[in-house]
Amino acid sequence: MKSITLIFGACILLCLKSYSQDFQKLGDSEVDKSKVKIAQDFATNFMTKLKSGASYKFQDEAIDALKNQFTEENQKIVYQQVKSQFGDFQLLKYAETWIQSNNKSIQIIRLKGDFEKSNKKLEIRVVLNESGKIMGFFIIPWSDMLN
Amino acid sequence: MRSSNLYNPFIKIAGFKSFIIGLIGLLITTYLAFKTGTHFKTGTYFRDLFIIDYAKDSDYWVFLTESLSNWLFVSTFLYISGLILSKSKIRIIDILGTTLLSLIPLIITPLIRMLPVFQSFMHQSWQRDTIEGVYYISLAWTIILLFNAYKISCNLKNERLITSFIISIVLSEICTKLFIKLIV
Repeated sequence: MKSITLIFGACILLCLKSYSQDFQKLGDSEVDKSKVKIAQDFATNFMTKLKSGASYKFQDEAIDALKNQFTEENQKIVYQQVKSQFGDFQLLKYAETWIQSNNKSIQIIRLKGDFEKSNKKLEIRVVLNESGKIMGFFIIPWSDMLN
Repeated sequence: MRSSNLYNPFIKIAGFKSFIIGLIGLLITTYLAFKTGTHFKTGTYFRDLFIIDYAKDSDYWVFLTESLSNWLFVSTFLYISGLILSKSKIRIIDILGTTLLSLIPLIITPLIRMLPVFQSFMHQSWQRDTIEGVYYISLAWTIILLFNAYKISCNLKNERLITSFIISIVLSEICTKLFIKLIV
């Protein structure tokens, strides 16, 4: 009986070890509030500009690759797609921060956004690099599982 | 406590008593599902039947709609099947009450998600596999309870019982998902 318990325990440990935890969620005390503010301010300004029909003018808050991707035309296309499905942007709130296990300087800041026609909140995700510049921006359905 | 009470309590509890106990259970399950973001009814496609989703993304009424519509669709399809196939007199309160009581095992999944480690996790993680393992065990338990509830409330046997039960459960699952998709 004892050996069966030991084998069973070893199997569980092996199973748990086989999961690679690429990302980890930060506790509230570990979160860098200044990074959260960068993400929140950017996302709010970006969405508000597009809602008003204008486009967002990047300064030096984002990396070049992102600036090149979000051209004026692309910004409008993205917003129209979101609007047609979920309605106009209303507001957003900070939800949580995740970091990459092997590169802790990259932060994934997850915000929850309210949209006019949707009863479900969407995720507005801002990814910041080591110098606090925006390197990723996504609008996706909210899930408690990080994809 | 006899083990048969765990999968067939309806010999002792039925009618209004099961309705009250089941309703309290449903409201607690719904509240925990809301607090933990556990959606029992998501997706609209056949392949999505009986799946679970994790998202603290909606107001309480969305979770309440999911729970109530699930219960009402299951009860309605089982009642209609009973009316068509059974020669006995079927009481609607028995179907409503025993069906509600059968849904109580679903409380286990949101209860486990109250633990901090199960609140947010990676897509491929031991947390997800654990929750889904627990969910499918509780779902199997619920289905056994529903089967016994239907068998006793409608006094059906053999092929009629099994076939009509499977059809009712699958139809209610599809209708619940379509209904939620329509109003949420």
